[in-house]
Amino acid sequence: MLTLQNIGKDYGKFTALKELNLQFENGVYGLLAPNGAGKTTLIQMLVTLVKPTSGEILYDGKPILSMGEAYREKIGYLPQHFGYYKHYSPRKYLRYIAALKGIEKSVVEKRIDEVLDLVALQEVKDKKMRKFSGGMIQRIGIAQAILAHPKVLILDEPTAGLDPKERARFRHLLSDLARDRIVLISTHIVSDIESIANEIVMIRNQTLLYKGSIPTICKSLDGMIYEVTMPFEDFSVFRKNYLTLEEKQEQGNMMVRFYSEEEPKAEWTAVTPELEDVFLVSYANESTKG
Amino acid sequence: MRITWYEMKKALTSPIVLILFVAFLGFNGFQILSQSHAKEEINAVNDLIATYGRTITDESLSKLLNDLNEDAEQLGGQDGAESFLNELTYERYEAFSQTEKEQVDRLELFYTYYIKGRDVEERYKGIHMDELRSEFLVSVKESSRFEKFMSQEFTNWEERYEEIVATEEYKEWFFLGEYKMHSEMYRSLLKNAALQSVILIVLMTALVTNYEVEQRTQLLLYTTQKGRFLMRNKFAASLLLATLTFFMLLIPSFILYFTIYDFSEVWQTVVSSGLNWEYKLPYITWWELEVWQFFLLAIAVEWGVVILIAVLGFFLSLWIKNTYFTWILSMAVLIGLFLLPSVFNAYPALQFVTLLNVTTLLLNPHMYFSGGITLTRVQYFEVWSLLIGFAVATILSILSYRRFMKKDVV
Repeated sequence: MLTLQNIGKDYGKFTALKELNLQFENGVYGLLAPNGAGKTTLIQMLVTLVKPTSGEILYDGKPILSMGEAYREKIGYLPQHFGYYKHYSPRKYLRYIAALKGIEKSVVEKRIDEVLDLVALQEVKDKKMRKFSGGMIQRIGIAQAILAHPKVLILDEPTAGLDPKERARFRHLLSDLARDRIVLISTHIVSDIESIANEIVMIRNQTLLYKGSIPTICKSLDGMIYEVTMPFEDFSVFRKNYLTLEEKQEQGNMMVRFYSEEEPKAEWTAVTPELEDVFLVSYANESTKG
Repeated sequence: MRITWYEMKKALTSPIVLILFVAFLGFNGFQILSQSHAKEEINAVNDLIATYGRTITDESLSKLLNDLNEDAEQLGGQDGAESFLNELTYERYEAFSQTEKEQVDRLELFYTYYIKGRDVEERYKGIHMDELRSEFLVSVKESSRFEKFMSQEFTNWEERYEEIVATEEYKEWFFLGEYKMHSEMYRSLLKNAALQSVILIVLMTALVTNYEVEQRTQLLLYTTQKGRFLMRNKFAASLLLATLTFFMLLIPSFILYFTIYDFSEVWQTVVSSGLNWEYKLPYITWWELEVWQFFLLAIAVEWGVVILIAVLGFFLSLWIKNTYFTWILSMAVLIGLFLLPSVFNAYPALQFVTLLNVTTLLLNPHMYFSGGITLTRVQYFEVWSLLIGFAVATILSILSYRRFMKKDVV
């Protein structure tokens, strides 16, 4: 179990995170937040790249910073900007990472083959990565993250550069992996996590906004999400008064999904809130709210 | 070791490193070959030692002269070698056959050795230590503990000179000073190899240390089990690369050098031989050192210098995080260290302290272990310079390493 107790991080006068309390058990967690909310800082603290200014992070009750190697051997991490050696082949690169992760030499080759199978890169394992597409590189990133059977898998924007087929494959892979480990996925693409995350963590203004299952979080917007169809010419006025979440043209009219805390009007149809709605509402500019 | 090897490979496969390495090897080879025209003449000393023994004695000199007179007689000189050579004109020389010409050349060379051997005692004993002391202490010109220290150093050196004279240590055959074999071997070849190593080592150390920042892999690698302790492997890789580079440059160069120049009989001659007199003074070593001992010790000191500079490069790399800036700054620091003593010309004590730096050692391997009338010729100068250098470099590196281990990696 991974526990964050009153975590805060200051960079000089700038506060990146404050008084964050969280607990992660085995399962998939989606970390949703826009840029600048403190998402990357949180992840960098979880992987020991950054030390908290206040508070403590515990793994099974022990502070991760004092655990050192014993903690790091349990984590697999894919940074948002995944650096790699262009002149290495996947196999050579993974051998190097395996050495750094302390994987025994006798099992390295077998394990490399396993992860390359999982990310469908077996056929190019001896080709130099210089010529790989963004999606292939991202899959190498995923392969290195899962190489040492991590107990805590932290993925920062893991689906960046993946095509829809690869995204689907990746979601299946994560579902399989999440059975006996903590998987934390940081993303701003809601669809990547809504089908696989057990819980969603949302951060706003450098502190925790929500943590809970998707139905629980969505419930917070019950009765506030509506759809309405209107003539196109009325739409620009409507948009000034309401936070629109989805806009579609339908036979000369506009179908709008929006957020409102007002008493619903007759032409409005209340709909079930979705995670995307929660995300958009949570991080919308306050002045556009209805 | 597996990880350290991976780190080493990052530098060893760098195109710039490989290009420079090959260029340096080529330059050294060219330099040796371009100066090898007199090799037959230079190598003749081995025959001399093999025939007459290493030590210059009245007996061996007499035997040598007899042989030279006989050789002269065979060439038509009935009044001995000296007379034959004095009377030798260009026309007479040209009248000889090719084989005879070679015999004349050899006779002339060996006769020169005979003269040098005969006069070595007078010349060596003619060194005026009192004048040298005055000259030296005038340059020190401080009535202080420093002057006393330097005066005592000179006294120790003078005693060593007297010991060399008393034991006739200087009476051993060596290449004539005119060939400058000692300074060529150390100041040109060893120093060049060490300088080339420094250029490569600073580059490789900076490359290995900064590799993750430049490839943007630090976020990933420092979160693996190894974590930031990877920097220890990078440090070990730098030291191993420094050693590897130094010897990879040195060994082929010296193999070529010793293939051209025959040292077979000279290895056991002492460096303080009276014939090893290239400049104002002969090499009056602080201890009795044979050529092979001096050779190995000089390599060991330059190796120490190279390692020390690798540590300095490592320290700078932890701060600068850019390979080429680190290289430029390291070179600037070394040039600064080289120039620093000249700032203190008016303060000999300070000048002496600033001379105890790696650049003095790097650039003057021919002067190692030898006394003289400059501030750098004190006893144990090499040991002090290395110890001070290692102490400073170690402290700086430990402080930088600790900072690296604690700071945020973003």
